[in-house]
Amino acid sequence: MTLRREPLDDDMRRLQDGDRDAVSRVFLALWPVVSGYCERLLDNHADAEDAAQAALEKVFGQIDRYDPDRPAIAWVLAVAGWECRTVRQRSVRRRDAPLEHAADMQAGDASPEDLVARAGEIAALRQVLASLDEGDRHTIELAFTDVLDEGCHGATFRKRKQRALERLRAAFRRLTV
Amino acid sequence: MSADLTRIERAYERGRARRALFHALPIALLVAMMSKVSSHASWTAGIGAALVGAAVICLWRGLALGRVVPPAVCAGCVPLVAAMVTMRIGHLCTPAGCATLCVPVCFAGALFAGGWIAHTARDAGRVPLAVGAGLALLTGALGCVAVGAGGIVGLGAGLFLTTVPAMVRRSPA
Repeated sequence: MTLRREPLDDDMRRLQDGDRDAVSRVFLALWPVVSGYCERLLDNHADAEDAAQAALEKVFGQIDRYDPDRPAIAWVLAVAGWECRTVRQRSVRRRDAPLEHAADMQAGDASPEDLVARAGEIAALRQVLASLDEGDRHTIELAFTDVLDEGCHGATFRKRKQRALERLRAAFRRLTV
Repeated sequence: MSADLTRIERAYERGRARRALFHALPIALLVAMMSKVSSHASWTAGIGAALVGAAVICLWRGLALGRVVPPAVCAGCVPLVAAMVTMRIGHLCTPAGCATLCVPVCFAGALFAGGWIAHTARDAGRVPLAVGAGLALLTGALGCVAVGAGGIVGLGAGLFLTTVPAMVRRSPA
């Protein structure tokens, strides 16, 4: 999305001055750019949205720090970058990762910390799987072993798998909140 | 789009409120100092509280109202300081007799203050100019209240004579 710099800089100056009409204009101009930037920096869509929201709250809350002689977008993206860094560090400390990347994790010659973290992840996964109904558990098991159930056609199974994985992700997010 | 605009608006207003309180700090210090030295401490404190409250609200609102606060408070310091100095001098005695200068000084200081506000806020509309005059009145009153009711009336009259004609010539906003 192309962002025209001059109208944004003008609106940011008006915002700094106290023009409340500029709030929605600046927000509509910045949200697509900031959320897209956070999506590129973070793997997780939910985390990217949270980081973008937090970044814009900081930008609007600290609008008096904006230097009107400089391009506004550079300052806004710097704030967004720091928010993404904070989210990433928080995620590393919690030792969680999106399930989509579970297959990338290998034990290999893992350090003791990695082994403990992996054990925690496996325990969390077991807990989440236990919260799903039997049909979803069976579907996920088949999905990760690539074995089709008797009587299931490819398209039907794909739909079941998609729904089961969505419910698994939702359950995992509830667990980490 | 799943962003929460309400939270962003609240963050913006909180930021503006914090900034307004920070920028009103010098005014609060002035009020505290005047309350300590004034012979009418309770009146000075009450006027000062009104001044600080009005300044915070104007700074929070921003735009023309926010911009008028610094020149208005500075202008109001002229009759304030003039009144404080004059009260130290006391009476002015001539062969014709002695007279107190306090009320005339408050009036003259207010004439200067009103002219200054009208000049610095020349791009502002009637409402910001009126608010500026009010802030100058409250600031000047911190000093002129020690003179008594005459000081306040002189202050008000001086500001009225200079700012009302300027207001009449301007648009409402």
